[in-house]
Amino acid sequence: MALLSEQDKTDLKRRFRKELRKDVTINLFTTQASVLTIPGRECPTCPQTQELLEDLTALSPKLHLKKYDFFSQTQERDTYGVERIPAIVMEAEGSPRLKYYGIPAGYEFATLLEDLNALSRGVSPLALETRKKLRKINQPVHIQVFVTPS
Amino acid sequence: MALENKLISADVVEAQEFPALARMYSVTAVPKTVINNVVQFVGALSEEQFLEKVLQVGYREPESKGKEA
Repeated sequence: MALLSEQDKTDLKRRFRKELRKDVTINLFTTQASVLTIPGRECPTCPQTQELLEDLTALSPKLHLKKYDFFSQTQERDTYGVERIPAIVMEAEGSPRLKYYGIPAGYEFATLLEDLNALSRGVSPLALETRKKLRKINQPVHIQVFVTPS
Repeated sequence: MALENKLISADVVEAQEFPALARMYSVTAVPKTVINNVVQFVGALSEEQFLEKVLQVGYREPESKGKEA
């Protein structure tokens, strides 16, 4: 079953054409489906996540998908600091990397779209006052937000 | 927020897919936010409140450098 309907695709194409500025690369860390199930290497949502991102990146010439195998491409895994799969690391030229662990389904898909938009435009949707105060940050901050897809 | 300052990194984690990690941070309701493993809160905060939490962890008064020129 296709994850995005034809109507979704048409809407997203229009939205991307209007909103995207800089190219955005979506790095997907996944694992190839294998005949043997290796304990500890299962990734039930990897195939769907890959399909969703393949469909999504096909909708705009400014979106690029790069796929990595989590278990064999360890150098890339370390470069991007990926700890588990499926992992989606989004980046634009000169931008920080935004990371998403798990399949971005349901409401989280909207979050992913907003992130793509923000990266592509190089600005966050935050208030000016907030952005000013964030510039004062002088210690490393790692924010993890736990969500469920509903 | 990560877009505004290079010292900030942000991960979204789908809690059901990573139960071990969710357990480690005692995630019993979502959204749950963990900042540097020291500040935790459940639920959506206003932008201002969220900023407050981030500043709490990410801002230290610069040490006085005296009068060195």
